[in-house]
Amino acid sequence: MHVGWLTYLYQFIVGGIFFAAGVIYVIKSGSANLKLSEDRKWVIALIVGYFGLATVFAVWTILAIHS
Amino acid sequence: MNLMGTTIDYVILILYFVFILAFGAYFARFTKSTKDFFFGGQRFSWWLIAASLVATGIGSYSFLKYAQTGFTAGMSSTMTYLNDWFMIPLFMFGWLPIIYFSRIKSIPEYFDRRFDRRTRLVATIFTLLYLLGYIGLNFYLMGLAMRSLLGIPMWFAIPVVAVISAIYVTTGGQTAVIFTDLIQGLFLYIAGAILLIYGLSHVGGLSEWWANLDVAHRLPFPGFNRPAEFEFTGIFWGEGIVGTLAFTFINQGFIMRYLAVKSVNEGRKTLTFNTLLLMPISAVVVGCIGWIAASMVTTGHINTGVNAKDIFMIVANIVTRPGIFGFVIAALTAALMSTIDTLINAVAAIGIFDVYKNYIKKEAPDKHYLRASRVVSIIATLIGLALVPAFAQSRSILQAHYAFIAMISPPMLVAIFLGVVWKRFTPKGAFWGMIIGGLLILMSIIVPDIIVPIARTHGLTDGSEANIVFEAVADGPIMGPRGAYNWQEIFTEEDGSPTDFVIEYELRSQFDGTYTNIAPVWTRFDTINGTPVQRFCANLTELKPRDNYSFRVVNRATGEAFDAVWDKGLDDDKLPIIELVDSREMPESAPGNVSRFGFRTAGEYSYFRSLFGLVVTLIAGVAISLFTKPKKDIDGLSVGTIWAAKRKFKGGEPNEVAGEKVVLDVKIVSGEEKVVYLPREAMERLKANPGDLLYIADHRKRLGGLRSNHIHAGEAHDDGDFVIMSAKSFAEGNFRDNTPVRVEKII
Repeated sequence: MHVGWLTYLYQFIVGGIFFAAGVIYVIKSGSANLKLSEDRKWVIALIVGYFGLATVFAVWTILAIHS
Repeated sequence: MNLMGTTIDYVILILYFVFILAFGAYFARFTKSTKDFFFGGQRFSWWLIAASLVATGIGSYSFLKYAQTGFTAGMSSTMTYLNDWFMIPLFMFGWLPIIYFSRIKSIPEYFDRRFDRRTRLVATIFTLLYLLGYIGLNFYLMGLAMRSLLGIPMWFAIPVVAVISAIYVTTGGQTAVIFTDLIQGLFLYIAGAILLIYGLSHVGGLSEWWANLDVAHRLPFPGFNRPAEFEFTGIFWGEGIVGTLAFTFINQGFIMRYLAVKSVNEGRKTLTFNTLLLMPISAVVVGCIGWIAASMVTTGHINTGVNAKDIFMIVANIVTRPGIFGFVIAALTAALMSTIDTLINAVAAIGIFDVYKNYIKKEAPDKHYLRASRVVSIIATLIGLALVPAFAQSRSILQAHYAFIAMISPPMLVAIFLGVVWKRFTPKGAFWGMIIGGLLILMSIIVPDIIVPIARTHGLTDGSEANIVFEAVADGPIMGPRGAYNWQEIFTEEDGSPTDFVIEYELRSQFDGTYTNIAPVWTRFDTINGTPVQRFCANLTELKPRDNYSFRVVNRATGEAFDAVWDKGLDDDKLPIIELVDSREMPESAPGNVSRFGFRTAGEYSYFRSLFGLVVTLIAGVAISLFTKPKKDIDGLSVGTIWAAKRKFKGGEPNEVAGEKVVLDVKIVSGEEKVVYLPREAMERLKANPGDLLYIADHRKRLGGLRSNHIHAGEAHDDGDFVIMSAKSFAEGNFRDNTPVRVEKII
């Protein structure tokens, strides 16, 4: 495996653990109230943002290594 | 004065200064209270704040620094801008609503309300020292940039920029800061776009530029754990995790900007837009010169032996034209002013709320505090200016400032973070955790080896490494060290071939006595975009702090040896400079130049010092909290109690049922009533009840909330399709006659 993928996986797995912990914590604590449409929208935006970034970096890494 | 640049460059620069001064001073009319002065009246739209944060986040030195990083490390220079998202949930749903709804005006104030007065005092001293030093440092770095780019002496450039910044901050406060930063951010982006377009066209377009980069320069991340000054794990922990928390939780200037938005929801929009779109653009703007330069080495536009620190100036001179260069320099100055103005305003906020109002004059009319705020802004600027000679004359003072930041940031961050997420965290835990953490970090600066165990968990060596890379493009001379910091250049027998040369280096360490190491020199042939490149690489290891070094390049086949010396100097990045005196003999006889490279010692694993600081403060704070009593009245100050903060903010039960926005005409009535009356149908569309907090703004969205006000709703009326507002509320909102307003319910 190219070292570029090692850094990618570290970033989005370890970073993802922090991210998921943060999302779960704010929901469990009641700071993000999923019954409110505004809060629900922002939680979804956070998750979409995470996967969006992961996708962009994956494409970038593929292009860097293989093009 | 031996000035560089053309007349038209200077005309553009002067016009820019005049424009910013006039533009900033214009907003003095919107500053009528301390709330206006520090938080822009808490009235602005998300896009305005997001755009203004662009300029604040880019310092004048960012262009030089990231051009250098982009040149040596490639597109991974963007990493520090692109890894914030992981910690955003805690800011979005934790810290942001807490500071907004609890009406926290400064970081030290939170320490007081969440913990106690003595913790606030420590936080006030730490924050003021840090911010004042940072103002001086920014002036100094700006002066360095202006001197190296234009030849303008520091004694001239720094006072001019300081006076301009101080005038508009002092008169216009946060509103002037936000609007001038909006303009300065646009300037920065336009300058970046110009450099990018000119640069790409110079190397033959986008596809040619990409083709002329090696893989290491294309990847989004640097090497996993090397080289020490720019390696992935350190940046991930230091910038992505700790840095993001520090920036969002304890940066007074950043927090004040988020307190200037009209609502928490608007702040979330700012945060999302800024993190996902504007910061990536900023990363391109500041780094693109370096990436283009890396490509230009392959195409032969730039000599491989060029000093990476000069790369911005070299490429800007090559790719721009007279006038354009002036525009770029104006943008660099804009970057400085937009950082300085935020810092001045932040110091003034702490000076007023945490010192003047807290210790000197506790009760006075708001007008008095507004005048005092302006005086403190001027004092902050003068102190910043007074620190410049100290930074300029003594590297030890500069290093002391960096050490101080490293010492105070992790403890303050841990104290706030635990205060926010853990209700059981006690005032004693916060106070003593900060003191113990700060002292242990200070010890790690004096005895750097105590950080090594943490650094080692990520494969970093006990000592530091210095990587020497020389390359010969096509049949050209052997030169270096373009890839000196490039992880991919550290190759061994697995992917390279040994040469007859070795580098012997003798170390005289206060810890280990004197010993000699030998590093083999390897070579490899690469091809970049069809151009053959021969590379030579040696990796020096186990270099320890405060060692003395001597180097020798030896040809094992012939027995010839060439001395190399460390000149014992430090470059602008605090890196020791080593000069191979005669690289013509290294490792093949070819015309070349003197090569310089730097390295960092184990003690310079600064990112891991942050992690160390966090861990020790966390342990101390938690341990002490387990044996001491928590504070009882902390409603609204930690994550699980935000509902209480909302209730206090509104002065009643929050109404969070989503409604529409409505546009209405205004009917002004005499009086000072701070309640507005809306038509019944509008109240229904807003889903608003009497007592709800409304946001009323000029209907023209492009104003970004400049003319607006927060007012509670009164009983609905049936008199017509207009909002009834008192003359005082109308004046406070800076509304214009006969102009419709847009109404929305906040809470």
